[in-house]
Amino acid sequence: MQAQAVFFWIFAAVLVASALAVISARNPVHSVLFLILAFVNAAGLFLLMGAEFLGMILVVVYVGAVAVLFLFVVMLLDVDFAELKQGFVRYLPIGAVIALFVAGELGYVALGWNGSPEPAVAAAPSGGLTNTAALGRVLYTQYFYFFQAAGLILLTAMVGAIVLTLRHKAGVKRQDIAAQVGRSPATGVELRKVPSRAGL
Amino acid sequence: MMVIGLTHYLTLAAILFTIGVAGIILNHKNIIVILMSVELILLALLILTVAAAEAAIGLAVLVAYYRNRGSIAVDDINALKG
Repeated sequence: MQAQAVFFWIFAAVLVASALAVISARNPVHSVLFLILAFVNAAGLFLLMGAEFLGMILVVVYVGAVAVLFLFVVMLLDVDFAELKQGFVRYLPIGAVIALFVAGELGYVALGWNGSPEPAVAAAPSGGLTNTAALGRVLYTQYFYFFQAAGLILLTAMVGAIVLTLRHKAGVKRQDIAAQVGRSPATGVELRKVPSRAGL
Repeated sequence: MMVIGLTHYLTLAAILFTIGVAGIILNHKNIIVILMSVELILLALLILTVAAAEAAIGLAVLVAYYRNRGSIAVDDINALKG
């Protein structure tokens, strides 16, 4: 229990610090790297809570896919980021005020909430199942429709991203499969009578 | 202090959410950092699937917009203004 508390405070401190660095870094590449650090620390917190599967999902999907996607786009776009950084200091007061408002609202809700004092540990799966096996058991049975809905959302995102970024350049030779398949012997083969001792 | 309860985790999520909201306001010119702040907010709310979809779609829109206009400054995005 003691070690768990120590690790919680370490992960929480690094998570908050890296989240602050994400929004205040001068260079967006540094922002993305701090975002990766934040995701890794959040994964550590999930491990502490006993949700190993979610922690690993966070590392694999968020660090491995989403953050790398951000990194690609930041490096792909040739943008003068120093210019975009203007107004950061000017908006610092209003940003702080709005952040205080949001924090105050959340705190107000939390005051009215009767917090549970017991340690936050996920309900142990019955029958000696591992975390992942227990999740898989309900994911494909009890929550099947939610699982399918999540899949549909991701499919929509994938199709949308491809449609938005795919472009066909004019003047590039491309394979036209329909034209190939639609060829008949009449159009495909041409028979010529070649006269003797003369070319075509 | 040494017994970590659900309250600790929820407080941490609230802090993360607040940092994300502040990030959107402070970086109101840089849409990439805005998207990253949205990622932080969705991480705080434990919305994983939608966050992944949002990142993919948002960055695809960004790339398509940059190709057409050559700029992604939020101030320049006014094509609907007429």
